[in-house]
Amino acid sequence: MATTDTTNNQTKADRDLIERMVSALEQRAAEAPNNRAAADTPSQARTISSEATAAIASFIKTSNELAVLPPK
Amino acid sequence: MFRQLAKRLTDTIPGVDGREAVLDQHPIELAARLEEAFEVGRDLKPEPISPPETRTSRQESLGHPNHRSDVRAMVQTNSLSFFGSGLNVPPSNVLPEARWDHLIYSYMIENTRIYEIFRRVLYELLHGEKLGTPLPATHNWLRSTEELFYRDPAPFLITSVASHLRPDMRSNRRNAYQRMFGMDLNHGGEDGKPYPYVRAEAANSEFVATFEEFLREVWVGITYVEASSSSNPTDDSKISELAEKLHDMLLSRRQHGNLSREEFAHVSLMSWFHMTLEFDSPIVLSLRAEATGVEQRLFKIAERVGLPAHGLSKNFFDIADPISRLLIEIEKNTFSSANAVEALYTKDTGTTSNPLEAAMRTIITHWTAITGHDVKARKVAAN
Repeated sequence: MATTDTTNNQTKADRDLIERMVSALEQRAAEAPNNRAAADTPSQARTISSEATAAIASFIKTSNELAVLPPK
Repeated sequence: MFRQLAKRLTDTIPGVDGREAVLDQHPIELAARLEEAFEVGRDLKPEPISPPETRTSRQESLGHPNHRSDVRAMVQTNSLSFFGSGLNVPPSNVLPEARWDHLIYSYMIENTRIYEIFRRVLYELLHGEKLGTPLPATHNWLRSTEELFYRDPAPFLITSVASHLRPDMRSNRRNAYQRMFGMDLNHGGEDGKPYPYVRAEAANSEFVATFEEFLREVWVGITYVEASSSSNPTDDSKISELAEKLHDMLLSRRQHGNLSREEFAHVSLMSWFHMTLEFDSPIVLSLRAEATGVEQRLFKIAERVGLPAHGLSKNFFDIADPISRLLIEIEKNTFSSANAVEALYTKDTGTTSNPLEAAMRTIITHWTAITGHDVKARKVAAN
């Protein structure tokens, strides 16, 4: 009997595990379109420091001062 | 400088092609434009984005990108319309903030061998008909080019940087490159021998090594900026330290406005030839060198005169503008703070794409091509 109980307990644990895995897979499948959409969009923009923002602004200003016509 | 002038003429005067308008001007009108550009650009307004306590131009030392020189040019005011161009635009309207390019622009453009090739073009066209007869519109270009760049400079002009003491402009340019970057051009004279010039003792011989280290560290930042599943080896402090080292060595050569006139004269000269090749200009048409792309026109002209251009001319043309702007920013000490250097490698900054990061990619790509030094490869530490 002890052996049977152990087997039953083991079977129940396996069943629970399988159910949890199936549930997780179903949830992942349901979220897949969203995941794909997220993968297709550009990576999330970083928040940069105010000093870095000022550096970019300075570079843009210099570039505007030295702007040239595009080659034909 | 001429390319910036062409852009401003195009933007300012409706229906005018700025490049054609510049090439069509009388040589003395062009000389007056150069004087005006130097006068406006030698002492620009202080940086508006810097903290208020540092906004006075006097704190931007002589030699700083916003305060290049205290030497005055001859300011022309009402004389520009006397020479037939019909533009009649007061210079101050055309050149409101006339910064000029960094000397590195001149170095990169000259490495294509553009000066030597056009020297031979002029020589042939002025001595015979080996290259055919120039088209009518070409005569203005020929006259201006010879007057401005292939003769003893007129006295008292700001671009008059040759004299009995330093008679050869080609040697003078090489001297400036050696002092500022510790580099010579990649070609010698027309005979293939090294071109003689005076080598200064005070020169930035460590510029190349430091700049390449700077590029290498920025590339690490570009590579790992979006990494989420690995450690990020980007070293902001090191990038900042290298930028400051470059700043110090470049401004050391510019102390008290040193090399400013020379830089202005050299970048103006290269800008003239660069602009000539940016479209099917009269001289390009005369030489039947129409093509798509600046370097392709140069290759065709080089073939006509039998003097090969550098095979990597496209790389030199493409790197010239962004590297000039980067070195100006380094001289402004823009990257002195470790917090500022992420601007060099962060692509998406929230509101818009980052042109500085794009410029760094361009510089790294072309620098690797023209030097053969792969700054994208990590350094291997010796055991």
